[in-house]
Amino acid sequence: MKNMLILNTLRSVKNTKSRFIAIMAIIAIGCGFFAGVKSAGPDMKLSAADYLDKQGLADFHIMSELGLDDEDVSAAEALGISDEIYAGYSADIMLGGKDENEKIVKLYSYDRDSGINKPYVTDGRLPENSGEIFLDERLSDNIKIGDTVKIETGDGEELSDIVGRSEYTVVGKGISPVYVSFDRGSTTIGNGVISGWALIPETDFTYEVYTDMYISLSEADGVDPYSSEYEDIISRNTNILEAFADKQIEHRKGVITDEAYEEINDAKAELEDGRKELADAEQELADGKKEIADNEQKIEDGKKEIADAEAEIADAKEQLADGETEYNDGLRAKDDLNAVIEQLGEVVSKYETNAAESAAVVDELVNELDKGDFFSVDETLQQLLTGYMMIPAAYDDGTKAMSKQGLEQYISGLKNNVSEVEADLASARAELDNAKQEIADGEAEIEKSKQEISDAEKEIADAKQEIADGEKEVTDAKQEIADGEKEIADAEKELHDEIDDAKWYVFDRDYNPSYSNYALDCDRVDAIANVFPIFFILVAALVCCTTMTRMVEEQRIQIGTLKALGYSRFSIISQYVLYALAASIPGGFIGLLIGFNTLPPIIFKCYQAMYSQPYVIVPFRWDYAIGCVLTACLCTGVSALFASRQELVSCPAQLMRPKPPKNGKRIFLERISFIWKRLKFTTKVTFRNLFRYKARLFMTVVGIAGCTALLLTGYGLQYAITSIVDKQYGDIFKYDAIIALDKNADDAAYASVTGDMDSTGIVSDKMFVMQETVDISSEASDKYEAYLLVPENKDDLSCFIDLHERRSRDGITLSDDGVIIGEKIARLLGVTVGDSVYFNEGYPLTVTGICENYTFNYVYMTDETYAKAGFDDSLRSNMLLIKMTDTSKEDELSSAIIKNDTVLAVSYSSKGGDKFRDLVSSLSMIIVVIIVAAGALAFVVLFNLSNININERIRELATIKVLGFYDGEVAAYVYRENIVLTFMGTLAGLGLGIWLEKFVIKTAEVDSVMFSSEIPLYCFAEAALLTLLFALLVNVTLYFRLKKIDMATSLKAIE
Amino acid sequence: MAYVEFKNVYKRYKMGEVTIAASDGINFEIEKGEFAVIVGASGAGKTTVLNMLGGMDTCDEGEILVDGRDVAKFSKKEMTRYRRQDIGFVFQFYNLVQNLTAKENVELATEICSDAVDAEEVLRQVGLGERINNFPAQLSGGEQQRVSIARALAKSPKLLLCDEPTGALDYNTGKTILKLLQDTCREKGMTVVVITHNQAITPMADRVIKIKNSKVSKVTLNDNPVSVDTIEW
Repeated sequence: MKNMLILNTLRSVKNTKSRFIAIMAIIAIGCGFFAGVKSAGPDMKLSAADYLDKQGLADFHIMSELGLDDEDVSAAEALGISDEIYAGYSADIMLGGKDENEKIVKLYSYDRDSGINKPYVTDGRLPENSGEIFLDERLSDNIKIGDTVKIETGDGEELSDIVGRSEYTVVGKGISPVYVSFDRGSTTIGNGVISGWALIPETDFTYEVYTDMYISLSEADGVDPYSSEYEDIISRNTNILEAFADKQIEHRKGVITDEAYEEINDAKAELEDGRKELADAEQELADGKKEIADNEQKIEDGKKEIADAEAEIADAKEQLADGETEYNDGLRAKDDLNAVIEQLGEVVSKYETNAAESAAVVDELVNELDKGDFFSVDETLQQLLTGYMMIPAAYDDGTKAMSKQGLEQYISGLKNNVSEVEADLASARAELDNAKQEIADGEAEIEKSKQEISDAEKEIADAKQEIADGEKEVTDAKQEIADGEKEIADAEKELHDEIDDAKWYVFDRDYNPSYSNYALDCDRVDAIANVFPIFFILVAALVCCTTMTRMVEEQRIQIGTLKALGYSRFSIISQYVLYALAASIPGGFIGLLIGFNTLPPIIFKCYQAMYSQPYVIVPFRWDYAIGCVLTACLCTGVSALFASRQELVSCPAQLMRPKPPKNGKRIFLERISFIWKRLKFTTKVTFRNLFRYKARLFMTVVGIAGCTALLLTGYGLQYAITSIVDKQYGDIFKYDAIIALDKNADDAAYASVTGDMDSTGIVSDKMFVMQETVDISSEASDKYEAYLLVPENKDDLSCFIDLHERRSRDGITLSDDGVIIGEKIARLLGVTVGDSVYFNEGYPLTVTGICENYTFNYVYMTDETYAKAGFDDSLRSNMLLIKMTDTSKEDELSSAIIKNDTVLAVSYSSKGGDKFRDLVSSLSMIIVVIIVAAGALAFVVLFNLSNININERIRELATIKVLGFYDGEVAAYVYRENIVLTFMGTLAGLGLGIWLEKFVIKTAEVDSVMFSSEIPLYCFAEAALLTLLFALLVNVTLYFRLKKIDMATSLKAIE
Repeated sequence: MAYVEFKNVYKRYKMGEVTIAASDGINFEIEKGEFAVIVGASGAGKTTVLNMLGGMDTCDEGEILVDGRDVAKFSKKEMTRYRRQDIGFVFQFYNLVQNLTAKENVELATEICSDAVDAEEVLRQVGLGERINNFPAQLSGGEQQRVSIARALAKSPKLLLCDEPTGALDYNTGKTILKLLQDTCREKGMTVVVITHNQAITPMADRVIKIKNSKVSKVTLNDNPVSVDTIEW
């Protein structure tokens, strides 16, 4: 008996293949989509957990300001909470290769025996020997395995203090479990951005103490790291470790204090020596100074003596010159006298002959003598002359009286005079010569003394220089000593500060933001997963219900027959339930298999653009599977059960008679006769039919609406994400480039940057702004991080950043009254215009405007507001906003300014969205999934419902065929209803889609991003058109079914 | 030449290995304006004849001439046009569209027909002037069959084909329906073909075509057909 029923069930499966397959397909799509999307989040978490477990990501990472030594490690081991502890080194260094510029790299030590934080090797192998390096896969494509890379320190420290060598051979590349996302963190060297990590053997490090300690908890082994159990373990062990850390820090404190004091004492002793030396030097210096002073006095005296001697010599020279003149005069006088004497002699000789004549000659001679200048020669000569003068007179008188004898006497007297004069002259000559000699000697002596003095002076100058140098040295030495003292004091203070404040940092995994973000993203996928698939399974369930109900209704005669034959209700019901289960269970499992294996990997692939998780595990999740299949079975089974039960209430006789067809009814529209009258006949029929089968109408509308809503959500989501880049960097940020400046540079350095820029001629406008990260909070909210932007000139800001309200697009002006904040941060803070916000947990400012903003959270205020707000730092512009005349010349601008040390970075608006483009490309895959799923949904729902529609009305359709309706007309007769339903569903779907899209966006949005909330018209159009396309596709397939309807059906009795 | 003529018409169905001839060389004629009854037991092949005559099915062999045209050679489209313009069909189970009122059911036919009669007029002719706006469910079986007849007549067909028009009706109602058909034939000169298994109604026909084992076993011409009222069964 049972077998017959089973056979019958199998037969009916065979006979109603299309219905059976439809149910299976709907169940498969529903289950597959639900399970696939729903398991994506957990699968991603599971994969991450598996990967992290395999790579042995440490549960705790401990760093100490004082470093860690072996004693610390063994003390930590002694806690007994760990199954492994690895203490190692890390350092930020610069790494460069043959074909690669230097990049900042975080260098870690690697110990092959340790199971903690093992990298996942994607290429090559791990380092084994000294000189081998293993690189971050994302660091560079230009560095190949086998290449040699060079490392150096970035801050001028000695490389040998960190590692033993500077050249390494690349042996492999991979992914590190420590870095979950592609963010590699920041550092204090270079431009501050770490590009990647690298591993070298532990032994290559030359650090004296460990920098890091990693702990793997024994308790956490095999515990899902995303579970609350893990959280409990971590929080419990955090307490243990923190308490331990506070205690253990004392160990290093002690060691360091001892070492430091040793050093300080050495320094102090050195200082003491220095002081002594200084005192000696100072004494020497004083002595030297005194000597110099003495010497200077001596020189002064010498100089005076020389001056006196020189004056004397000058006098002597003058006298000598006078003497010479006199002497020469004397010589000349002597000659003249001799001539006179000679002439007089001649006179005497001629005297006898001519006295008169002689008298004349004598006169002449006298005249001549008168004219001669004998007086100046000397006294002797004077006397001579006076004597001589008397001669003529005597002669005059004597001519008469004087004899020749007298004259001769006179001449001899003159001759005597001459010899006297000669003697005098000779002695004068001798005297003069002596004097000359003396002068020459004196001069020579003076010359000598002068030389001596200048030498002495030079010596003194040298000595002074020496002393000056010495003094400087002494001052320097004093400064040094003072510095040394200060240093020692500082060192002591620092030591105390450092040591007193020094502590261990105990980081758990959540400290790594990308680690927790991954979990959040998984949860986000899960959240989206909750919306879509439930929707799917709902539709699937509804469709299955109608289908099953319809089937049971169709077979009422069979039910009646079976009942009349005496089959129990249970047997009859179980037959239909069996049919339902036969479709649902395989359908469900087929869907699950496809869903589990396709959707999580697809969604995972999207997220791989943001996280370095090398693989995904897709287990068959029995909990979801059973849940899904059970739900599906419930939907189909229960509807089969209820439908057949309902039928079974009737007595067999009734059942075997055809069920009276559903009565025609007037519809509401007919009451509005002025519309109804104007409608075409066919339209009227369509309307009637629409409202005749309300359940089907409802189902179809829901199905189509779901499809449209999903599509709209997909497209809307795509727009919401892709458009923000253009909006942010087009509508809001009007600047073409932003240049980060070193804010420690002075104004001149800033001016040199603008100068460099202006010289290119491609910068049309520029403005300095200050940008810094602030914490912002409101009365009601937590604090959020935001960028504070203060323009140099608030009036010019609008040229660079267009602050406006999103909906009205009304511009917002920055004033001194308060701040303008971005829309997203306003929403997060729950503030509106007029409310107060707090900066860095202290300074309340009024919100004067809320501006459209998409990426990151920006807050704008004027310099005056900034000054009033009481920030710790004073205002100093650190960015330069640039507008360019030609944005295609970015390279030109870059090359013009990048060499300037003040320029830290240049970023262009045209490239501003690069970060988001990754995100976008990853999401487009999800959107494809949505579209395909929506299409499948639309197709299955429409096809199934239309199928039911046709089956139910097959007699009617056969009749109108007999009446002579062409194929097209028959199709139109059915299609009109489908079209109207499709339109209704599409419209409803667009409405539903707006809501769904908003919901999904709200779920998917992160704090620092606001997605576009409006959905552009083309998204509506796309969603609607695609839905209509799906509907069209269904109707085309239906057309062939309609063509096949046999007119003879119309002749048969009603079943 | 007769108005309707079946000449050696064969229709065979293949049931796996066996070929069953539903029409095995059917020959008969019906003149214009005649009231013809095709009578036979269940499974004799009446319906196959009706299907072929009504343009709902094709024959495998032979000629089916209606008003001089060979229906058997019609394409699918021509066949549809033939059903649309030339044939009025009255079904055993009325086959009214439940969701349409009586008038609308008639209009369903007039909508597609070029020289259709006004729907209300036809309904009045079949005696349903008062029930124009009723849905089938609100009508009795006889009334429903009248709507069905009205729907067929509204097209002014060349042939009125009726498949067991009284099969689902009680005796008296069946009679009135037959009367309506007979009157239509007489008054409008309409060629009416009634298919039935009921031998009793043959006296009212002008021509009786008996079908047995997929063949026409006998064609009887009735010179004095009686009125339905006088027939009892």
